[in-house]
Amino acid sequence: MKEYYSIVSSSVEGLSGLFHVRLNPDCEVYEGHFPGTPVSPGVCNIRMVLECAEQAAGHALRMRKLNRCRFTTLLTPQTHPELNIRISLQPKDEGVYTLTGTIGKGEEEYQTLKAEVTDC
Amino acid sequence: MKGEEIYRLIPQRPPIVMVDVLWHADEQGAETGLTVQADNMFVREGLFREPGLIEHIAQSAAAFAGYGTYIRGEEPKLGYIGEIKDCVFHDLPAVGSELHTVIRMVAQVQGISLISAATTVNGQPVAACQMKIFLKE
Amino acid sequence: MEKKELIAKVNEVLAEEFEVEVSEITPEANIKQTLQLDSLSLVDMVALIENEFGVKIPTADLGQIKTFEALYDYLAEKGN
Repeated sequence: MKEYYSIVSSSVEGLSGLFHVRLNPDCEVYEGHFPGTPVSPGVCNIRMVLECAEQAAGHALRMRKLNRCRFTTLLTPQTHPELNIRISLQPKDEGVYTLTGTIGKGEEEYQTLKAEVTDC
Repeated sequence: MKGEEIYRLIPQRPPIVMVDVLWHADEQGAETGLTVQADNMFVREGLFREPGLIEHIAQSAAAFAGYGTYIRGEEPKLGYIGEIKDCVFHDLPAVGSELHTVIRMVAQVQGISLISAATTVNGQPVAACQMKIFLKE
Repeated sequence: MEKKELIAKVNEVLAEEFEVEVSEITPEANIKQTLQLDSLSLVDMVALIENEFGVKIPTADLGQIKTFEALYDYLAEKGN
């Protein structure tokens, strides 16, 4: 499948990072979500945030819990082609972190999540 | 209802169809299933990953709502996840696993449905969560 | 349940769920503003009320319940 997004630029400091991403309107996922009405799937956005967190951590992560994830704005590659993803990993235990992530642009927040992730 | 019949219940189409059978539905909720295929877009290193489990649950809720519209002779409505809360992932199912999910409708307020869901494989808990879904009128 | 008891329980339950001080909940206060509810958290409130008081608030009635006083009155009426 064609990539869902690409990271245009990023700045990582310790276990926090800010990623500037671009959504790919040609990704095949839009053929099915939904036919004739492309909508960026929330779960693909969750995966995108997780992958940014993995970049900051330097290795693969697994989500043990998704405490809360709120989607306040519908995103499409046409209406929101570029997004900022802010992530922060707080160590909780040996190999366990609290991940907070936000997808937004400027002052606006489109999606927020808080999860418990572990080293793979 | 299974296979291509599912397309009467949900608006999603390949490559992002994450439910392949509706076992049962009534006013309180529904039971759905999914057999994880090797080419599933959420499979990584032979395991069905967390975003896939969430999407399976969301589409199970869609199939539940879709059953309601289907028996009224209507098309399935578009739905969007509004919120996911208290989601626990006990295990990541391997390719070939048969997921079984029970969806329960908790409340419906102003076009938002609150559902609770629990997914198992061979009776073993895999994931559970609470989800709010906007249904587009 | 006595009205006074009902009011106290409503306040306690809402204060805990939405993390506000019970003192912030006054009869004439606007529910959405005081509890900082958006469309998503409003669903939690309705589900909580149903769970705690056994009263289902249909969307049609919800629009009329703007203040805590309105909520108390609604529950007192429907609960009996």
